[in-house]
Amino acid sequence: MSTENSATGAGTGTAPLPPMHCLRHLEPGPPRLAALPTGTPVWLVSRHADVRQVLTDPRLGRAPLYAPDAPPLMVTPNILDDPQSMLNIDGTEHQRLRRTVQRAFTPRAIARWKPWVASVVESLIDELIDRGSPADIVAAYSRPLPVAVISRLMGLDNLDSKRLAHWSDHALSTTAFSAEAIGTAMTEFAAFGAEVIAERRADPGEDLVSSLLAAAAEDGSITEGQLVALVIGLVVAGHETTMTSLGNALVYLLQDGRDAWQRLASDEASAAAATEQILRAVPLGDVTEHMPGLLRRTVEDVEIGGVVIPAGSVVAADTGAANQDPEVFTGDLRTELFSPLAAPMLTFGAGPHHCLGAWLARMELELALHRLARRLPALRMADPVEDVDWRRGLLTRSPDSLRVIW
Amino acid sequence: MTGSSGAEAVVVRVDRDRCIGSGMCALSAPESLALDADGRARPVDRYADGGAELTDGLAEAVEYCPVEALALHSAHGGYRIAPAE
Repeated sequence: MSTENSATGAGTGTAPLPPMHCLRHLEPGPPRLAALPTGTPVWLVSRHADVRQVLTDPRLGRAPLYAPDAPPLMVTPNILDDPQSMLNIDGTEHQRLRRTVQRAFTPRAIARWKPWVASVVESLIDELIDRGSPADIVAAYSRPLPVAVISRLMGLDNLDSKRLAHWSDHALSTTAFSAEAIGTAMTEFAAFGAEVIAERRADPGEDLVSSLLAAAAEDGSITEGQLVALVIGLVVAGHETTMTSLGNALVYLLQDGRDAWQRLASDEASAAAATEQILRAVPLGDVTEHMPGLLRRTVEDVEIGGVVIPAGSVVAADTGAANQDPEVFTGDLRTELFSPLAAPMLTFGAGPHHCLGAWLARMELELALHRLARRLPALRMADPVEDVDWRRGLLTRSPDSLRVIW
Repeated sequence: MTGSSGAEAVVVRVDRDRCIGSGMCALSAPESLALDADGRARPVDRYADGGAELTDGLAEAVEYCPVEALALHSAHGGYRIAPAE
């Protein structure tokens, strides 16, 4: 299984799927009841203001989703269901854990990486051009870029990209893999995390793992299990979502949205504006019954959008719908690609669990789109979008390969 | 409450357009910052206007804000202290 690299074709058939920029979203409206595949009732929240409230209101949390009295959420749990993960800890304990890494991810800290990330982008484009047209832009660009960035940040120079892809696919599987396969992959991945931690304790460096270990040692309250979950969580989150977002951005920009390519090349500010709009309008994954939104659970009765949601309820904040809420956004990428956002997007969430890597992801995407458009003005997709080979059965969806010509 | 003699009184400003309501500041420095009903941070008491002591918790809140929505200013001179321009 490990050499097969991806979840393509597993489980859910191979019928053509719409590209991510064409997905239909839930019409925003008041919270309404639905059910998860486990039968657990879930309140779907879809309006921009309501989604923001769900993510910031302290009366809703992640930890209560995994409390002893919690109803089952996933038929086949994955890495997001690990109670030791930073994602599933709330309040002061969460803050102490996040504090060990937060300083490395502020906008200013991330900006210091820009020249180096730009050099990785340029060298990948050099190699792409050297090998010539046609090429697979996923294998040559959208996959290796975020892997190189997170590997450097965490000091994982010898990380085997095939093993990483295997672990990441299992970590974010919904239907692609069995519970046993996911369990085995996550045990191996945790062992890798523990090994990296042991190495850095013995021989600390300038990398993020060394600095988080130093901060955790100073804090004294963080468990070994939490540290392992944090390290492997950073590895997955640090590349998978950026790869997904860049791949889907290219599916849009190299075909339906091709008119914008020249302007993307013109200046970084245009690429930055387009990055924000693409992050808003092109979701990372399909909204499915497995993941109808970012999940939280109420610890007391909470009124959201005029509806009283009882204590102990599971709530799904549909950020994709909120990002297209017609009360707030027009939703039209074609006309708005270079316009400032009308309101903050919710792609990175909000509240205590707001994506740690938001600024790193933005920078990688901006540079990746701008430099690629500048170096390859004639770049376009070689095949119709119906032929795109999608990674399936995972929480995220992006092309497994994408043939381009120039 | 204004700290030892010689310590400069500070106010904290919140860029509420940037604020994503992480709540990290209200946990680090509850005497200086709180979350409003809309989930965004706001300075409390003397940290909103008159100025008060720069505590370790407040310095940490400014340094660790995930979106750099917090800025420390001198209560008297008005100039920015942190983050550096």
